[in-house]
Amino acid sequence: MKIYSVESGRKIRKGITVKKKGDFVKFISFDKGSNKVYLSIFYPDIIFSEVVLPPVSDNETLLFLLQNRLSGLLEENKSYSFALFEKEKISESEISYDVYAISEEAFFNALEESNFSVDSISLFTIDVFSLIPFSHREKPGKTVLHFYGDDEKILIVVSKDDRPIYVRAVPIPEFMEKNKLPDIYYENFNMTYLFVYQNKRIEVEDILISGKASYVREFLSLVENLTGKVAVILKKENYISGLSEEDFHDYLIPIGTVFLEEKFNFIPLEIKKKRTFNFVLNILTLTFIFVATILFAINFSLFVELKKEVVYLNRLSLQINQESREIGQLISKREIDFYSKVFKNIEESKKSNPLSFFYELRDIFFALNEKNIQFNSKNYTMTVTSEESFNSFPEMIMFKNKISEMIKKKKAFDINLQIKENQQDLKLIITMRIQRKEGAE
Amino acid sequence: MLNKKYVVYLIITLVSVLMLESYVAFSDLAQVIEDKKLQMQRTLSDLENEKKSILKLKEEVRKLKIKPLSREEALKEILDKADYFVKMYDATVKKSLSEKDNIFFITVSFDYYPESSEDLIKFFYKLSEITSPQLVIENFRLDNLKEGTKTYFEITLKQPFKGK
Repeated sequence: MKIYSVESGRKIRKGITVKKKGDFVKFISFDKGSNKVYLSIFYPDIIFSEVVLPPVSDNETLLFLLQNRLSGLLEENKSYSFALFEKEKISESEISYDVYAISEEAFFNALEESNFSVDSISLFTIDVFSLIPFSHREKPGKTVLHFYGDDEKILIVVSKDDRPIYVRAVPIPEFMEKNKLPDIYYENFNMTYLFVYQNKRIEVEDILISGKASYVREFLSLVENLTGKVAVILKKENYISGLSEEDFHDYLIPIGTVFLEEKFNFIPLEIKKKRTFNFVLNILTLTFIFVATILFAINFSLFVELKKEVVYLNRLSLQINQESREIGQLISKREIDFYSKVFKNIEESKKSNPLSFFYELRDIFFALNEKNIQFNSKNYTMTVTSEESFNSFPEMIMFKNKISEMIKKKKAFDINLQIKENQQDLKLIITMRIQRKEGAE
Repeated sequence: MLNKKYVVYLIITLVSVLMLESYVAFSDLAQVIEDKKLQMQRTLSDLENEKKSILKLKEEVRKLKIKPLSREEALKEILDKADYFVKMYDATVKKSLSEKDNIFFITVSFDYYPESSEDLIKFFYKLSEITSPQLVIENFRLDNLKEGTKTYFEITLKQPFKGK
């Protein structure tokens, strides 16, 4: 991610474009090489207070509570931006915070001076906070006093990890002679160190020196003599590549700004809300563009398919017309009517002819000495009456069984068999009512 | 002045809605065309089957040597055949000539004395061979008497003709 980070001091305006990769940045150029702009300003009038608040997740409620609690410190009719750092959890419903506030006016003035639009700024902070990432990285878990000095200002921040404990920004008088800088540096260091120790009861564990102050040997000796600790000078290797040691210290503030987290951001809440709204709107727009593109592709594909289908329908229509014409030429409606009647009659004629009964039941007819046969085409039923005489009783029974067996084998017919026995005269009177089963042609 | 961005958002939203509307319209149209296509495919298939049936019918007609007859031709045909039964088998006309739905009807009845079973079967076969007019055996009776076998036939002659 490329970031253009700018330091805006009293007179100093300098920016650096870097590529951030995790906890390390790569130098790109000293010109503006990215639309993502981080801006830190010199702001000695920072308002600081400790407040105890209930846990609040809603930003607007939090802003309201802060304005209420800090009403004695804030000017009326002025809007402020806040940076909150949790200090300790007093109870379930109370958390102690360190609060830093700057007027929104400072934000808009800084934009005007630096010629940036509101939308171009991603992070807006104060330069003294830009020192905290170095202190945190160099001495994690320790209370560190970081002293930064250049030609126009002195910045001092006492912090532990990424939480500022005490900050101080001091402008250096414009017409100060250069050889007086070590004295000014030391005077401010001495004053702050003792103030922090005696008044704030903060035990400083390590000292960091950066900026031009890190090249002033006389100042460094005095610091070490005063504190009895080694004054650690920042080295660029841990933070940036592609830049000289001197430029690193010169651009320390904008480089440090790049490492700051969102909680150090003083962009006014209204602008943040608008950005969130715009972000959501952008997501929606992208979604709409995506959906519209997909729909366009689907619609185009559907359109092509429909066009093909219409061509196919036209072809079908032509085929139907062609078939209808051919059928009309093959046969007329009157002919169809005539033939269908003829074939219906032929079918009826076949059914009414008992020839098939005689053929399929020929074994029964051969066995019987039929006396009478009747066939009626109303229900296609044949009735056969036969009278049989026998020489012996077993012969008669055998015949009777034989006929019954023959009938059983005629699966295509329903045959109702009635036999009257005359055992004295050894005669059988057989009556069969035969009907073809439906569908058995 | 209206923010240009919002104009763009509005246009994109409108385009999306338009695309969605088009999609719905195209989908509906696709369904209508699909239904129409199925209907036309069915019609074509029915026509093709009808054509096949007609060709089969024509082939059958050709085999059976059935000719479409006019009213006059059909009348002559049925009367000639009735006359044949009267002359050949001493038949009596049981129901005289009638006409219904472009079909002539005459019912004749007669006795027939077959010399043997084979003779009777041949007679039935001969009747089944006659296709113009078409013969429907309404009643058949066979009695084996001492003098020989006697059969009784009641046959309706049916002759359709081409209507106008």
